[in-house]
Amino acid sequence: MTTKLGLPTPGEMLSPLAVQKRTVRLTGWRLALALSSLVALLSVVRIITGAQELDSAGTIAAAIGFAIPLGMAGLGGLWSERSGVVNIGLEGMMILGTWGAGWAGTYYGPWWGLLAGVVFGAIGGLVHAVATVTFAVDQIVSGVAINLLGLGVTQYLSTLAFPTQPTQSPQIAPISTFTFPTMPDWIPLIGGDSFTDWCASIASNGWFFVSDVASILRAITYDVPYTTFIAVLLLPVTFYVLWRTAFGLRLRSCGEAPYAAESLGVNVYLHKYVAVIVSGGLAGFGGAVLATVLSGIYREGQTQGQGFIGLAAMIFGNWRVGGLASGSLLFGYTQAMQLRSGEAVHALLLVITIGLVLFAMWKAYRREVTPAVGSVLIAVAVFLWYRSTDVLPDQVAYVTPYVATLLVLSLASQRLRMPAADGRPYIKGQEH
Amino acid sequence: MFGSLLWAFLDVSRQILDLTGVSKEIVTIMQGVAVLSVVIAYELVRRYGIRAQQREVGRQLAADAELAKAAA
Repeated sequence: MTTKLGLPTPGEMLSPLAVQKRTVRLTGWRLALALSSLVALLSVVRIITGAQELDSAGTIAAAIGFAIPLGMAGLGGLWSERSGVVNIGLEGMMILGTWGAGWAGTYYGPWWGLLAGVVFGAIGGLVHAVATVTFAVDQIVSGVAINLLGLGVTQYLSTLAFPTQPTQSPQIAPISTFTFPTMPDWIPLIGGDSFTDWCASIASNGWFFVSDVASILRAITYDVPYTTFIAVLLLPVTFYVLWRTAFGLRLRSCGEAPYAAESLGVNVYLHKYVAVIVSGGLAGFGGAVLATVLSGIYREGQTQGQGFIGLAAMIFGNWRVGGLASGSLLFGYTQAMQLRSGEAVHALLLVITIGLVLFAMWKAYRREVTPAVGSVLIAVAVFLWYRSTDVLPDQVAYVTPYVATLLVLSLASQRLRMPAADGRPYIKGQEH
Repeated sequence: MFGSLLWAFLDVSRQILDLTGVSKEIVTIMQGVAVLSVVIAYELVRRYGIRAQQREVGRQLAADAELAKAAA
């Protein structure tokens, strides 16, 4: 059933055998089902353990807040790596972004600070692009150099911009926040009383599932900084640009097969340049949000390797927008947990136990014995740990994001597929 | 070897620089610039080498062709 040229016919390409059998298509219904089962799982554990902070509105708002810088750094990594340039320098670009936000935020206002963060990050991206695209040097080495430069340049500029106290900026004015307005009385259900208060009162009742949904609603409608909306909006925008436009197709083809793209007349250098500069801008925006919204101040060493965690979130998300978003939320949630009581972190052990048991059942259903048995064993170990302790020490809470990173990457690494030409230097017309 | 010596020298000089009134952040900047410029210099030398080789081969071939023409 092949044509004269030996190419598969459209029918063949679409036949289920030609595509990998095990891929599960993510439809709206499946997504809704997965989300609601996650909420139900959290709800069950919350009721069993009585740890209200497991998914209180405060925890969820904090998780979303922490996820934004990670997500933006990861989104930057996505742009860059989809065009075939590995970007270890995200951390350095993020540092540049925090400084830009600290400097312009102090002297001109928070929105100018955000803009300056984006511009500074993009300058870092430009340096990375010049080194890796024009000079085709090793992308890891260039990234490390960007990280060093980002740190050094910001420290040096700080001594000039903030002479009194060079390690941090003065307080940056807070960014305006959005709260769901009070609706007129005649609207059923949400009219009259302030909607957010209504959500909070339902959340405080502690009902199964309903209260958890209410606390999520409260978290996303009460006192949300506008930067959160911008950041969340950037996810579908990125998806649309990279996967639904001709420009995005060309950009991704530079990451999969640059010489094939070149033979079809794509300007590979230009597309890589655009991708890496946008990448720097996004990482800078992440850093700027970190400085302006999360801490309200620029402080030296503020990023704490969040650029790298963002990169991990992107790898965990299999170089896709949706996966990246869920990865960042997961890491954001573990970071938010650090600030909560030890009781909530302790309850998290039970969540992990139930999650592993469900995972084992799924694997057993698929007749994959080894992963199933392995998950059950780990589940038993975690459950014993849960039973034998009452409160986890603080250190465990601090280490959770990193353990989560390691676990997720080692468990998921089998199914991940990065762009085919990712990290390979490209020199025009020199295919061997 | 020389790279690590340079690195160690820069790290140690951080403290001295502070005393002499030069801001010590320069050290980190210098390290970053050094890394970048070294790899870029390597790449440029490699490209120059390739080009020189090609030129040499071209000259050789041209000379051979001249010889063959002369012989004929």
